[in-house]
Amino acid sequence: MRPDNSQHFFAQFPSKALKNEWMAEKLAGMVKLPKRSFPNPIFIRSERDVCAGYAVIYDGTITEGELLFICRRRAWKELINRSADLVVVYVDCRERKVYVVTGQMGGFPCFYSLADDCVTISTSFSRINACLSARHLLLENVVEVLLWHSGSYPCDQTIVEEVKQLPPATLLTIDSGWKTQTQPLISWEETVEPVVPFSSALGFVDELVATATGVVAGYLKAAKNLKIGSQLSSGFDSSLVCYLVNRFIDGKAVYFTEHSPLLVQDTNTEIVAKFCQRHGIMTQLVEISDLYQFSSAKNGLKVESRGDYVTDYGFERHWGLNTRMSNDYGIDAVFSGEGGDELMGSHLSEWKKFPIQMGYFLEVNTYMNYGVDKVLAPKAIRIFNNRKRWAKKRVYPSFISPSALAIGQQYFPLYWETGVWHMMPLADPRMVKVAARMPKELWKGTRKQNVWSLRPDIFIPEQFVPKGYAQSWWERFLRERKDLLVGILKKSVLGEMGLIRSGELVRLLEAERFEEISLLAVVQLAIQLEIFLQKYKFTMVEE
Amino acid sequence: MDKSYSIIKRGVLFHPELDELNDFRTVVYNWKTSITLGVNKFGYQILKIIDTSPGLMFEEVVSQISRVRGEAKWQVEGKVRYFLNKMVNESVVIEA
Repeated sequence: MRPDNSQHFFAQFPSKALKNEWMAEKLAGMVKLPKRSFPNPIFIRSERDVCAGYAVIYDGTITEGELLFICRRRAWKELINRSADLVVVYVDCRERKVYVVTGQMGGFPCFYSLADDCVTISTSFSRINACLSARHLLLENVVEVLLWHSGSYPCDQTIVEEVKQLPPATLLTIDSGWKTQTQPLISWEETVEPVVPFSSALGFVDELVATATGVVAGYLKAAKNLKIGSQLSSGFDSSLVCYLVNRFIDGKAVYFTEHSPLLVQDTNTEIVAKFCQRHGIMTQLVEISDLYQFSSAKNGLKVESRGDYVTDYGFERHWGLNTRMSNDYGIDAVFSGEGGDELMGSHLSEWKKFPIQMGYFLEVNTYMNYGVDKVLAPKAIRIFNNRKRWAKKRVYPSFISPSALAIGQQYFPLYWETGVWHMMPLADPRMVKVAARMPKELWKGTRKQNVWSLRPDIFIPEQFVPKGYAQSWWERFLRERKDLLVGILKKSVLGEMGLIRSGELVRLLEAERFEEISLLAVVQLAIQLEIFLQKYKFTMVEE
Repeated sequence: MDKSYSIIKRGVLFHPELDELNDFRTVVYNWKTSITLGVNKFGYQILKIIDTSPGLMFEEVVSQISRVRGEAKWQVEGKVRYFLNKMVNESVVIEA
């Protein structure tokens, strides 16, 4: 029997408790920490303070006593310098302050609100959103969500003005006067420190594999005694991770390969089979043809929002696979190769020195080139093109790229609620620091192929082919759920706000001119947002 | 040289905090080639002047940069011309 994983970390302190009383016993009772098989909750209470949260430490251990000692000394840097996924709330009743700290790897998102005379903190946006008596919708942030902005730069706001998000490696302080302050805990100077490239390509690649070996060992130690899974595609990243997992726990992990005739450009099962044969790995083939976006939404025009606009109905593939891993195989934690693409850009110093400018160039130019104006309406395009939106962004220095951080920050509900913890060793800062020292001779052409061609003991020749775009897979939801999408878009809140071309999308869908619909990822998120926005009442806040 | 200059917005972003941290060196983006280029403090100042007053004539750019840097016009004119030509060729600045 698997535990109920639907509950999230949730703390709600009413104003009375934080303005006058500050009684540890009472405050401790306001912190809800669901029990799980992994990660274990941390909860320490004394007469003077409360320390609660979750921490998965991948580079050693931290005992509850050590964690409390760190909090009491405000030595936050000791926490966030660790390779760890964590969120910790510390209440000091003598000092009358609440501290919230997030780990640098972003595995735990953290949302907070000071609305309705309460301080509310949770790993779940939907949990806080459900408590609000009024919501103000931030149009600028709605446009950012449509554009998957968190993959370009970390978010410190949500689409709802009353709910803020604490980015990775950031400290939130709330005092008795309810004054809040957020402080990035990694300095910009740290992240831009010059590095010395390896003098030889072979030396670099060997060090990268040796580091990955140590990192994977640490992750396995953090998840010891748990049932481990590992995702395997025909690409390099998941193959490297599976190879290493298999070296450490030969025969004790369960390997999964998602496949579909519609996805052969992404995962070629023949290549996977050859890779497995080489390394003595047995992988479970999981057919995912029917796990496309919105496939689980009930027929009919009424689709009930589950409360999360990022993951609701858009990630059926991940929900489906994770649920199967959990229910059929009892998997508690799964490895993936996520972060492997970003690793190959770690040597690009401009991303560290100019993260906001680079995020802007990437986002604006990518979407302009792909015809974003065919999906977004002029008002949204004006917001999208507004450089002031970027100029006012706060600097959140990080060793890990925003797109790798976004995985934990955005998709957390699907890992948490299926009870399968997601581990991304290739996004570990120790890997990033080695990858940043890539010698110049490997920079040109396809870097990943250059790098991994030096390890023929791990990879097979068939893997050295470019991955294609599985168009028929990605557009399946348009064809299969046409009526559902038309029904949602005919009541479009985003269209009414002047943000998306809902009428044009309806026209193309009804005429079954699917190939003319561009930017499917944006269309997908527009539908997800519609489901959310059509459920709750909002007051609009113009940009 | 009676030409005017404007920024191509998708290739230039000013960010007060990061600009200062980087001692007013920055990066610009050629949207046609997807190549990022480094720009020194002198170039940054020129871009900032053009961004503030789109369509500025060459002589005015020279005047303003000479004031900002406290250098004579004849000292900066050649460097401004070189930089603007480079930025025009890289599709970061429009010349009209």
